[in-house]
Amino acid sequence: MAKVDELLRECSVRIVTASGFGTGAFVAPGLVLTCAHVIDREACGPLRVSWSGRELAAEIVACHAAPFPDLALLRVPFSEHPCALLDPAVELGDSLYAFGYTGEEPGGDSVTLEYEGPSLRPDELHKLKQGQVRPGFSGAALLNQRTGCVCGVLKATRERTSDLGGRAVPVSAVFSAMAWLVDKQQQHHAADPRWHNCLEPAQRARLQCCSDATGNPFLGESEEVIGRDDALRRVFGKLRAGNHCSVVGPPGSGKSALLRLLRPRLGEQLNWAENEVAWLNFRAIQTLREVQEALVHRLGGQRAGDWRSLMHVAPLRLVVLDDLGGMDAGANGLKMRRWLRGLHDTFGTRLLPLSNERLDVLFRKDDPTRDSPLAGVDPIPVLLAPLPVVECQRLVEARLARSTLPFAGYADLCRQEQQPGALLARCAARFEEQRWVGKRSA
Amino acid sequence: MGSSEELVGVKLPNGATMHVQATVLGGEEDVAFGWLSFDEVSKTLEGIAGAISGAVQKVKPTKAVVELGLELAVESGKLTTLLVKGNGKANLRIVLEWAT
Repeated sequence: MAKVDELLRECSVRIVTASGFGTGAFVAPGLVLTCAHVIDREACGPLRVSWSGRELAAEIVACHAAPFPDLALLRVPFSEHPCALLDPAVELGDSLYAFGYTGEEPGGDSVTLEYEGPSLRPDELHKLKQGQVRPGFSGAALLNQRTGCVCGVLKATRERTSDLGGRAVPVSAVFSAMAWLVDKQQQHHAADPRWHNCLEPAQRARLQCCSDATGNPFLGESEEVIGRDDALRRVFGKLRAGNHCSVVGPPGSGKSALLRLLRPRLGEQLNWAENEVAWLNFRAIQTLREVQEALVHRLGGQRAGDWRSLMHVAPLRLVVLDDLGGMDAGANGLKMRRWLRGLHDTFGTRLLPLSNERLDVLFRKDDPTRDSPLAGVDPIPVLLAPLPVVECQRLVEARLARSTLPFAGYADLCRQEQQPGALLARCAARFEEQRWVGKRSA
Repeated sequence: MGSSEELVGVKLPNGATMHVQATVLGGEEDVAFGWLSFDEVSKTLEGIAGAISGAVQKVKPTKAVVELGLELAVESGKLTTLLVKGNGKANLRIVLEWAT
């Protein structure tokens, strides 16, 4: 039976861009996880993935830019490969292993590192020591030898010529940025037991215990949104004044939660009916035709080409552009951006884009002097900043209100300002670790 | 933090690439493998040359010889320049002559 480190090497790929190369790992069929800085969106040229002697063309599915979370997901037209199992659990002193493609060893090289703890700064990277992290290792999956699962994605070296160590993006940040990956992982590993078969019995038992998420008060969506009252007021203020409104915040900052809060209040706050607002998610929409189809469907029509006549009869007051980072930054996306901006010019429809970065950064290839349809829609966007310590405490207390657990067990995780997604992921991981320790000792 | 030397790939403004021996000054850096940009070196050279040329023009010599000892270095993943001692035991040597 293969050992889990062998299987990790089988999951690893070399990613080659026009400006260099890095590493990645299969995390779902046809999907490669790596660092955003590896793929270098500014550089023109093809993106290729090398795996087991094959050269595969790759396309970007998701990109959450550096410095944090600095993650990207690539799609390749091939799915007959093993996938790494992601799990956020990591403890001080855990021994970690990674396999990557460096300048000196383009065929692949290994490194072992020790987990030193989190960095108490907004990016909350894993700090690692006692291993030499060379250029080329970016994007390598970091295997926790205690749990048998991947707990991070290697991102940086602390000193390229010595064994000072490096830094890695935690898997909690991966799940926070790409929550849908959790389902993909579960589906894959339920159907393909290769990774589970490589685990030690104790590792399997731990995983089985943690996989029962029932009862974890930090998982799942909550009706209550903490610390975003001011952001919500600003959104309504802008829309009431007849302006567009852009909401910008990193993954896990609560953009989707804000939308859930906003949706039922549009009627009360702005006197708008539900059918006067369209909600588009650019993780699912790829072309202008799909945009038009979605709007026509909202307006009660059948064919994409009917959008103009339907808008003349009952124009939409607002189009919400969720996950705008998923929109193509090139010419295909530019068509969509021009068309959406045109809705306002012709029908007075306001736009509410939500994105991880400011629109002028997201679509920097659009010429700002001549043709940048979305760059100027809202010069002062609503920024979702990290929650202050007092709001972090309120958030954890609100989640714990559903259980009998004491706040004291999580108070130390609230001692710095942070985004709600990251805070909940850390609390959820601690809850699972404690549950596992409790079951083991029982 | 100590420093050591290694060969690094550099991309010139015209797109040509080469490998150069550079002093690694350390510092944290992302570890995607890529060609380093030569832009910072060009800017440094232009800056030093501009500063010296301004000073030399004020004293109006009939002949001026400037010798710079520059070494390439990598710091936090970026190519940079060190002003170092050259063969003449000086990192910057300027000879000015006036015709009598």
